[in-house]
Amino acid sequence: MSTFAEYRSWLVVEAATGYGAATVAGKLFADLGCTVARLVAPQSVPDDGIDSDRELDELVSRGKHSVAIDSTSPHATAALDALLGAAEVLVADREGLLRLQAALHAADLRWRYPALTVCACTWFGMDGPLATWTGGEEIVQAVSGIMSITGHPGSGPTRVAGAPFTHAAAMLAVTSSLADVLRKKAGEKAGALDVSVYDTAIAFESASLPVYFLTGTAPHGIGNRHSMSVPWNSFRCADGWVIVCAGNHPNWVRMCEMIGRPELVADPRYATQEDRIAQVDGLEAEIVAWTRQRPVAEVEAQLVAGNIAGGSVLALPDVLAHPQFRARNLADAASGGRQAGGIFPLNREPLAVRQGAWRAGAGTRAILMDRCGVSPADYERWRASGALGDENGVAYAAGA
Amino acid sequence: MPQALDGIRVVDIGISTAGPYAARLLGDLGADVIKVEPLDGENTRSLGLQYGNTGYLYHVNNYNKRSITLKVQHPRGRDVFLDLVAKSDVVIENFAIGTMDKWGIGYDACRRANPSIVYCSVKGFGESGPLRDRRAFDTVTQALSGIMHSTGKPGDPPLKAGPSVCDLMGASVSSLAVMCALVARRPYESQLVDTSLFDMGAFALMPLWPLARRGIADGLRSLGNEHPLHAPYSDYACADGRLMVAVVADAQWRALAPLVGLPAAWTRVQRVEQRRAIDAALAAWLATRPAQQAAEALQAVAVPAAPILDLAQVATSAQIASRRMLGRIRHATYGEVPLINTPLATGTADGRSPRRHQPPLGENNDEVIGELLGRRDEFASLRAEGVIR
Repeated sequence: MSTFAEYRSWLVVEAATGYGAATVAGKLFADLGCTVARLVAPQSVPDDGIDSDRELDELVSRGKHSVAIDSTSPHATAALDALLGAAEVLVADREGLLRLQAALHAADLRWRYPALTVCACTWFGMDGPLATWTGGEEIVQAVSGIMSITGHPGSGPTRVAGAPFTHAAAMLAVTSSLADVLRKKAGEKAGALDVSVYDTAIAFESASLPVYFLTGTAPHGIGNRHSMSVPWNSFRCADGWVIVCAGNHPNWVRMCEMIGRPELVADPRYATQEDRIAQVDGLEAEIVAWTRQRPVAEVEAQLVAGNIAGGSVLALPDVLAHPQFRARNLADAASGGRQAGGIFPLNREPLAVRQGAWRAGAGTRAILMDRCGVSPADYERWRASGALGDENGVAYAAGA
Repeated sequence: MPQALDGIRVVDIGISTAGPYAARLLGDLGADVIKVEPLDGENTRSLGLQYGNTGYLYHVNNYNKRSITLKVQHPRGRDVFLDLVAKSDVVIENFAIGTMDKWGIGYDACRRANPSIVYCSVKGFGESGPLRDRRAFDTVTQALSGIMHSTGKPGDPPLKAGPSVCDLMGASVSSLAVMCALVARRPYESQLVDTSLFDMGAFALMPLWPLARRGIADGLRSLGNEHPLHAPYSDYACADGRLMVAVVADAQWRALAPLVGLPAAWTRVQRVEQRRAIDAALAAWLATRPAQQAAEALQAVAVPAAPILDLAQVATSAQIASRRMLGRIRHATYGEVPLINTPLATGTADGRSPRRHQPPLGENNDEVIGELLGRRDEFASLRAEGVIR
């Protein structure tokens, strides 16, 4: 198993609730081998304790240690000092950061912990008119314009499935935090970083916003087509769909051979890329006449044989069962796939991940005493006061 | 104020988006990024919408970089490239599997040239697995990773995301992976980081993995903008546009229910059972209200709601201005070029804006190949042999 030895000495504190970019950022730090202390309130109970919330929680919990500190307790300050004073990075959502600032009476946590990189990882950022809005992946997709540029013509705005912008923001938050650690190593002060899902979505509009810049007109969804390359679309087969991206002339020639219509290469209607774009409907009809008669597997095999970029449109269950998904270790085998794996291999091996204690409060004792040097007497005193929760104390519903 | 990657040199031999955008993110953090281009320029220089005779995508993906031209397929070009690698910290490439090795500049050659190099290979499917040799674009990986099948509206064909999410997530994970290696690197220990667009597509769908295990992920597209486990969760017509509402918690429902005259005590399961009744009540409440006003009213009671904006509305919004996500840079030839700033937190006050505009092709041949590599006296012969422009 491969790892970056550097990170095994790092303590990262995650202060976030629910499934958001800060929670995913914590998972990415754990993937690197950091000790990740996930700060929870001892009394935290999800709304209705639904299974899906627990499942989401577990997905991003690999290698994390749940540390239960009641920030409203008089003893919380000492416990938080022990935890944050030993940490390299704090990654927090807006509520998590504000809660800590209130508990510690510090508008900037770096006043209290000068060496701590503080990374706010929020839906809309820490400033701006939407900063206080309740967010979510689709809420950001709506107000950032992503939904407006996703969709088939005439179908209206459409959300992108999953949480691509939340996850991308998490990656950018970790990148920003690592950059800040490098700056600290060079003698600079720790940074107060502000990464948001909204900013990430805007950055990802790098091919669409320019259309507005240059034309003054807002672009809208064009389905699966490409504005400058034809054929480039999804095509119905006898038992599903394939995607074909054969947008240059050599690919077009191979495509014509594949569908048994080599004469189309010389057809003046399709002679140039511009011609093919102008005649896209007729050209696609020629292709679908061939694909509809064949199963996806046959069409995909012919695309591969013809060295044409394309493939089947897989449903998520098929993706999760695909040998490629397993070969890339995208789900953690040790958890039976209930926890996510690492997101990139290092030196041709999966990243090594430490064992965690992610169920609510289960890591409190180990993190505070073993990792942060809290004495047994202090620990027991804080615990008896109700400031801490651990596996022997408060009963939890969250993640239990 | 010093930047995190001051003193770090990145060789960017990528094309299109995933590799170049990854390198640009490192440039945003202060790295000296040297873009190695073929003699006729990287493909996006001539692709798509043009701004001053250069593809707009090239402007966006390649600011904060220098440019050299080099025919790396030529033996002398290969030597110059490996010489540059020896004086650099990072290589980023996103060619098809085997291409860099075929040219004699793959990971093994690079680490021989520089035993401490961080080599980032960005691929459609990564360097392992049965699909590793497959040709890929963003769209192909959106199809094979499940994004397309899960996105869309009832009765419609599968749908790709509007943005190139696999490309751009691939770039994001690549800059992250390189940063991980740089922070942790030791002398004479090269690192190979292997990132893939397919991995990112699957990662993007991670919140849906539990649904797949429950057997309810097959029909996600038939739900349109709804969520199988939550209601109300969809887009709704307002007086002047559409509004996205995404209630996931009981507290949010308790705040919303009195506005639409429905029982606040409904649990999540009951809300899903009553989805159509809730939709009808909410639609009636929203029909006479402007989307922005409705969003503000709902947000005032912490209900997740937002107007669905088009890019004209986004580009002129107070939020995008406040976040300083749009910038302009003065280009000697093209004048003011509007750009999208970096989404990274650079830790410096002015770190969001580009430091330098996209480089003209080969603009830095002299300072890089001539000065840095000490090969100025070879220029004439390199040009004569078609190795540089």
